[in-house]
Amino acid sequence: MSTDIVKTYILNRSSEEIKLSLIIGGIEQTGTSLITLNEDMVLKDYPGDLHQKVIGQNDNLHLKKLNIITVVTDTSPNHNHTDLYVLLEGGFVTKGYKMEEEVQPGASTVYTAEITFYQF
Amino acid sequence: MKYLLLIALSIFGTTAFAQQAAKNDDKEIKQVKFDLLKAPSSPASALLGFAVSDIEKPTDLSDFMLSLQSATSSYTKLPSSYAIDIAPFYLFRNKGADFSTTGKNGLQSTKFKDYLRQSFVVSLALRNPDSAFNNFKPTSTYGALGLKFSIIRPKYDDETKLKLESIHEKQAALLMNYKSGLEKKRKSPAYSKFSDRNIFLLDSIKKLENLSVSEKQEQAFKMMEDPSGEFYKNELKKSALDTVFKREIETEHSKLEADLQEEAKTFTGNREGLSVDIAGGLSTEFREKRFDNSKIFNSGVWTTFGYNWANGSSIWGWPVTFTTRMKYLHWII
Repeated sequence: MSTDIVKTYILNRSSEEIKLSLIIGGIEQTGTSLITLNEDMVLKDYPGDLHQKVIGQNDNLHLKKLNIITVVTDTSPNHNHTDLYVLLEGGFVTKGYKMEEEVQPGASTVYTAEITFYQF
Repeated sequence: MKYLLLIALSIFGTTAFAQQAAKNDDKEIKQVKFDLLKAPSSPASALLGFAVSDIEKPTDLSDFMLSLQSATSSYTKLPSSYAIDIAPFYLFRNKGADFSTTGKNGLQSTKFKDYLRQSFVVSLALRNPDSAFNNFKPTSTYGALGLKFSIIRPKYDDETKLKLESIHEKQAALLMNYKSGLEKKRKSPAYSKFSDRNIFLLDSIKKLENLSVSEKQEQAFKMMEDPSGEFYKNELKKSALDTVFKREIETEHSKLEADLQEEAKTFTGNREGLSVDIAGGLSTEFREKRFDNSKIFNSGVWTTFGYNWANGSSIWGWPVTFTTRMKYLHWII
């Protein structure tokens, strides 16, 4: 499975909020994220999971690019599995994308996600 | 102060139970082993005598469904011998539970709500013995249900907190390197041509006047999800380029990544303070393998108190443990 995704997210014609969640795995791993929307910094050095962060509204995100970079470091004494689940809600459909990688003890995986928003 | 009171109550409680047990059955007390005092990691499996290695522990929903499918021969029959531990808040992590170390509601959290969700395990077990052993009869089916969770969880000790801070700082530095590196590399025409082409494909659907907005959305969604289509392949090519860009950036900053690995390798996750865990379970014997002919087979509640010191040493025990087996009742300390 890849550690990088490039996706397009279809927006609705509404002012409903678009929410982003980032879920870091597995148990006892340490993750930090950096999120930008076009040139704007949304979150810098955010530790751990992110739940339903409002990125914007359906009406003001057309053709904007959401870039997520998350580094997950293996700090679990029980396994060397890292994963990242990216969940987007509020648009045409709720969409989740999972990335995962086994690493050497103590090593890190850098996950990237580039999401382009599109409104019809 | 309240912790001291809890420990004192626990000691008095176990002393009282010891006396009661001594009166009931001296022989039982002599057979008690110290490791029996530990709360089992999987109460239902412990009640039905499963080895730890035989317990399924799914880490996501698809794992769980695969495990269930395999044990039930594709949902056609009950499993003959099956034990599973389910951490429901881990399986449904998108509902708000955080299992990372540094998250606001993660493993470093000292809020009861957070560590209850992180430690909550439901265990299920089913056994159809082939032959008689212990108190199990081959003519019966046994089922068990158990729960386990923490009431008090110690916080990370100072050394662990410092190490996590250091790991977080290195991760932050790494993120900045990748951010600036990727921004630069993604400006290449080889990368942006795929974006331009995909926007063109979406614009083509947008211009279709005979379709309503929802029809356009559905058509675009179908196009995006088709692995053999141009749109999907363009996105794959872009993500493959990202992987290449990342490798180049990694080479430029290999020392930082190596330092981070050294730091993380020695992470222990030690905690300091009082801990209280509770585990409990109940098993039923279905005589002649009939579900309308059952009785309680055994049950148990394990309450374990403990204390961890910063140097990694710990003392635990003083448990108030209550188990029943068949018709007999034992208080074990």
